[in-house]
Order: sequence, then C-alpha cells, then structure tokens
Amino acid sequence: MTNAIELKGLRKTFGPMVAVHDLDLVIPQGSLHGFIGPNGAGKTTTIRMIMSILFPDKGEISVLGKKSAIESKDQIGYLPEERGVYKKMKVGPFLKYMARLKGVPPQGLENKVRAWMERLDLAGLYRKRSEELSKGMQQKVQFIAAVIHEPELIILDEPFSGLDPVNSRMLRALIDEQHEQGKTIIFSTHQMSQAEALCDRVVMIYRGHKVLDNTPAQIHSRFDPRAISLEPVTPTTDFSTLLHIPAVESVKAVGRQLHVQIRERFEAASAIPQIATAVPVRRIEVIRPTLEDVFISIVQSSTNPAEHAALIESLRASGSGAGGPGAMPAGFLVGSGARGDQGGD
Amino acid sequence: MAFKTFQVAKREFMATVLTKAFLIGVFIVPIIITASIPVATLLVSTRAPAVKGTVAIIDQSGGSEGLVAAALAEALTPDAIEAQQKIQAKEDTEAVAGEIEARLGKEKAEQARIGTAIAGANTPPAPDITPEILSPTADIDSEKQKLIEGTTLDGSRLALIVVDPAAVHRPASDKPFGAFQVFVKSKLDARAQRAITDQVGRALIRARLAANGSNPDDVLAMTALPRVRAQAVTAGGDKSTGEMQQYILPIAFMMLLWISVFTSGQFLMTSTIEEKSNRIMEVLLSAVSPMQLMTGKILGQMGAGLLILCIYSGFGITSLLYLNRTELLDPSNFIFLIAFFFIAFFTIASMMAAVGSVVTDIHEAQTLMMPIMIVVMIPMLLMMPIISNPAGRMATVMSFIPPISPFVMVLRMSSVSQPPPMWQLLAAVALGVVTVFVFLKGAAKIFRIGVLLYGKPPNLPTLIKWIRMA
Repeated sequence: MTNAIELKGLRKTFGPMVAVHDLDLVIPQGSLHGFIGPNGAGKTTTIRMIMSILFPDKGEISVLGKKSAIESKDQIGYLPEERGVYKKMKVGPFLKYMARLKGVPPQGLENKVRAWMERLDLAGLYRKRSEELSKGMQQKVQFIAAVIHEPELIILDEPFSGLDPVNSRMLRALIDEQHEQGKTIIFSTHQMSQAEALCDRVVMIYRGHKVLDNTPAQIHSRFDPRAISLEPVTPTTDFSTLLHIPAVESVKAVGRQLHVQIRERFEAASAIPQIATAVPVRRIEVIRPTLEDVFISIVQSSTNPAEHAALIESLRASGSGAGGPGAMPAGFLVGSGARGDQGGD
Repeated sequence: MAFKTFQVAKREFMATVLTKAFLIGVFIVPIIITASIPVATLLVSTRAPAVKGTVAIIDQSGGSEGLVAAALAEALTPDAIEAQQKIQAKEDTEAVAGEIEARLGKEKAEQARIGTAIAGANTPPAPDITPEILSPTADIDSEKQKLIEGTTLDGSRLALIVVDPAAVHRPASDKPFGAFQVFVKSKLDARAQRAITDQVGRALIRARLAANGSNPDDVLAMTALPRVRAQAVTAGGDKSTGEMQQYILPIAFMMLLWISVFTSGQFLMTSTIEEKSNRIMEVLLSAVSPMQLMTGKILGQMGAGLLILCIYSGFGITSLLYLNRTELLDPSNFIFLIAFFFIAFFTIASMMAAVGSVVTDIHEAQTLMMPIMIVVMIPMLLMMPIISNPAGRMATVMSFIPPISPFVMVLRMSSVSQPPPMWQLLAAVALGVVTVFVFLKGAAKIFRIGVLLYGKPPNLPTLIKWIRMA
C-alpha cells in the first residue's frame, strides 16, 4: 500500500511562535485519519501545509506521490475550517464553478450537482442565493464542493462544527461511504466521539507536536489506567480488605465510589472477582478511557511545564504506532474520578 | 493551469458586470447627468427675485446742468432695462445659433433660435427701479446709510450711484476719464446689481460721446463687432478651431482612462475583500493557487474596465459624429489610449488587489488606500496646468513618474499644438511595461500572504517587508 501523505520533519513558525514542531506523519492510502487536538494546536496549519496553502520553513511533504499539493490539487477535496460561499451567487452555479475549477468537465455537470444536492437534502435550492441558506445548509454545500470532483484524498477541517445531530449523522455516513470507496480521508475535530467512532487511526497534535498517532483500540490499551471503579453496597472508608488483595496497589474514595489501582503485573479484569468478594458491590467496572479523557489529560498536564515536558517526551519516545502499553507518566491521571482527591493511600 | 485562471476571470467579470451597482454606475449615472443638463439650465435661468426700490444718483461730474444725471435716471427705468435685456438675449441667441449653424447646418440653427426664443419669453422681469437724483453736493456717507434700512421689496433705497467728477469731461486730453461708484443694499440680487451697473456704464459712455459732439448711436454701431471664430483650413473643408482640441479632448481622454481604471480597480478591491470576509478564500485556494486567483481576478476586472472604456468612448465617438467633428480623433491616439489603459489598469489593479488581500473589511482598507488615492488624484490636480502647457517641463517630468505616467501621457498626447514626441510616448509605454511587471510581482507576494491573514491588517512597512521577503 502506498502512502497518500508523507510528512518529514515539518516545521512552521509564525514570528516567534512555533506552530508546528518537526512533525513526521505517514497517512497510508485508503485510511481514515482523525486529527484531534485543542484549539491552536497546529492542526489547521498542518493541513494548510499539506494543501500547499502555507509553505513549511523546514521539512518535506509528499501528497499523492507529488512534491506538493499544487500538482495534485484536482485529486484533493478540501473543506477548510475557514469556509464560506459567495453570498450573492446561486447555489447551483457556485457548485458548478467550484467543480470547473477542479477540472470537472462541463458535460453532465449540472446533473451531477443536482444529484449531490438531492442526496444532501438540498434539492430545490439550486437557484437559491447562498445567503438565503442556513449555516448548516451552507456547510453541506461546501461539503459537496469538496467532493464533487471525486477526489482520491479528502481533507476535512472541522467538518462537524455547526452541524445539528441529524446532519452530523448524515455527514458521518457520507464520510464512511467515501472511505468504503477507498478514498483517503483526513478530518480534524474537537469532537472526540466522532473521531473514536469513525477513524482507523487518530493523530493528536498538541502545541505543534504530534503526541499520539495510533488506532483508537491501541490508544485505549495504551492509556489503560489499570484501574477499577466500584460502588460498595454500604458506603465504607475501610479499605483494608481490598488492600490485602495482591493485585491491588492502592484504593481511593471518590464520592460514593472507590477507585482501585491495579498492580502492573496483574490484569485489571481478573481482579474483579476478588474485589467483589472482598466488598459487596452495587456496580463494578474496569475504567475505560475515552479519547476525550486522553485529550483532556494531555491538555491538563500542560499546566505543569515539567510534567508536560515529561509527557511529551514519553509519548515521543514510545514512538508512533508502536501500540505497546507505555508507562504512565507520573501524575498523569486518567478518568474523571481521578481528580477531586479525598483521602487516598 | 491557464484554464483555471480563465475560469476565475470569467466569474469575476460576470459577477462584476451583472450587478445593479455596475449597471447603475456605468449606464444610468451618465444618462442622468446628460439628461439633467437641460433641466439644470432651466433651473439656473429661472427668474431673479422681484426687486422694488429707488436708486439714488449723485452726479459730481458737473457741467451740463444735470444732464448726465438725467441720462442715468432714464437708463435705470424698468423700460430701459428691459429693452437692453431683449437686445442682449437676441445677441446671445444669434451667437449660439451661428455656432450651431457652422457645426450642424441651418436647420438645427433654426431649431435653436426657436428654442431660445421660447426660453427668452421666460426672461426675468426688469427690476422695478425708481431713479432719484440727489444734489451733487449731497453727503455720500449719510446717503449710504439709507441703504442699510428696509428690504429689497419695500421701495426703500436699493443702490447709490456716485459719478466721479471727471467721468464725462476730462480735465486734460492726456488725463484719464473718471468712472462711477455703486453702493448697494447687502441683500440685493446679483442680477439686479449687474443690470444697474451695466446700464449706468452704458449711459455714461453715451454721455461722453455726446459731450464730445459725436452721435452715440453711430459710434456704438461702428465699434460693435460680432464674435469671430478662427477657422482652421483642412483638407476636409474649413473648420472653426477652438477650445475643443485644447481642453475638451485631453480631459475626455484622461477621464475615460481614469474612470475605467479606477472603477474596475475599486471593483477588484471590493471583490477581494468580499472573498476574504465571506471566508471563501481558502475554499478557492484549494482549487487554484494564489497567483492564479489574483491573475484571474485582475483579468476579469480588466474585462470590466475595457467594457467601461468602450461604452464611454462609444458615447464620445457618437457625439463627435453627431457634431460632425470626427477629424479631432487621431486613430493613433486610440492605440495609445488602449496601451496606456493596460499600463494604468495593471498598475492600479495590482495595488488594489494587494490592499484587498490584506484587509477583512472596507473600513480597514481606508488607510492603505491613501497612497493609491494620492497616485490617482495627482493627474486630476495637475490636469489644467498640463493641458495649458503640454510640452512644459512639469508635464514632461510627470510623464516619466511611474504610476501617474499613463494619465499624464494621455493628457498630453491629444494636444494639437504641442503633441509629445513619439520617442516620449514609446518611452512611457516601455516604462509602463516595467512598472506593471514590478507592481504585479510585489502585489503577488502581498496577495499570497495576505489572503489567509485575518485580524489586524498590516501597515505599509510590513507590506514592504513582505515584498522584500523571497
């Protein structure tokens, strides 16, 4: 399998600010990649460099086998974060114009535009001025403009922002469909749930660094907190019975719940029967981190610069795609309950 | 790649030309202006406000037992003023009709005579003046005080005429004649003032002639001469020359160039700002490069500018055909006009594109527009001096200052008496080509960075830094 995109040592600065630090990234053809990261992390800058809208200060880019996206623009569909329409232009002519700019031949173009509009519930708006459309409708028009030329590579910057749940679901189905057709798709998002549900692979960019590049499953296992959450039938502060279990390292009370940290050489799941025997429980489960938890914890750890540096280093050292469960950096807490400490070991 | 540029140009052209703003600006405004000229003339020539009052005369010229004062009083009666107005109107009509006859033939001249006669029926009524002769020794200052009281309608004093002692009789033949002074009420209408002054002046001349023993009617008839126009002899027949070549043609050429370049330049800037503020720039940049986008936009607006140029030159040529004055047009002038259009357009357009690309709304553009406005205003300000001395040092120097060079050259090239030498025209074109190249290159650099820049617009030094960067 060839790679749709290869980035090597990409670096971009705006004045004193380094927007992207020596970024390496490989996106194989046919994959569905999610870019996640907080605002200002460098996602859009990276995407703009891939699109040759911005040019890197250092590093190499290869897009669809070409040295720059300029040479392969017609094979790329791009929905930018800063997107708009010509307010006075009618929807149909606008889409035709964008398609013509991307090299779609004029024959049958109108039918094609109409077919797409119908699919996205925009039928009957062909002759409407773009300014008369709602924001969600405009976004769908922009999505059509990004894919109407049947590109091999589709880059969507924040495609879900501003969409209601119904349209979000529609867009997700469309992305899935394009993916099934073998298109390479990259999309950036804040909505971790979207990324988790859709992506083959998730890349997290934070402060210009790539801090994660893995499949969602690998991320889960890697950020496995080796922790169990349980709710005793009768509230208790006596953890002694639990601490006698060999697999248990520490216990912490969080509200009515107890958080049990499991020792490294034990499986969290296999410790459940022993814990349940020791303390009668109403509910017991292994804590599964969501991407959101990972995201938030990475962002929060940055409030302590030393911690942050350690985290970045550990993430970089563990390498992208290795997938092995990396050591949890000190103070790197996952799971909502882990905050708001009370008592503890 | 050129195909994409063409697509951008096509959209830009259509989006500009097929708007109400363009139609109104290009067609309707000139039509309204043209149509309003006759209306304005009618409005301007509407009747002067009615005036009623006395005009006092202090005749210090002595001798003749008050004859001079009596003659002035006679000349100031409403009947005398009205008679003079009629004579004047007839002379004016003849002058206009003669001009029209020379250009358009007898038929049109006759129509004009009838038209003016109808308008003439509308001449304002003469001011209702009652002359009042005061003693030659009356105190001027106390008489002047009476002008302060009353209105121009209540019959109070409107004016005071003081005839100088030597106004009619010179003390010696080598001494000059005296004249007269006129004091008026501060609110007296200018037309009434003029009527009074003119009548007194005329009466005084007649009085001098009579005092000299001549017959005033004979002498006045002998000294009167209708206005004569020089006629240039050309192969196509004799044509009267005049201000047409000297002023109208250079101004027309320059305005043509100015309006077409500036209008389309403005459109270019606003459409660039629109693309930025509507956040469509990046969508476009996913399909075309910034250079293609800028080139396409400039070419599209060039089409709009050329359309404006054609429409207005069409108006101009049609009216010259109508006036039978096509010999004024030198085809080589049109070739240079087109050449200078391209130079001026690309120079201004590249600046406009650069400004449009770095701002997000039209208000932010104001400060950056300043240098461009200065460039486009200079030729306007220097228009008259250059036309009156088209081969002068200032005109020649200005012809070679890059951004204003095409405007100045267009002003100079239609001069009949002192057209610029061919080498200057060609040198200006060569300089223009170099200027265009440099400006477009600079604009492309600014455009490339500017189009994706949001937030506070950069200042001039920053823009210059961008141009210097790679």
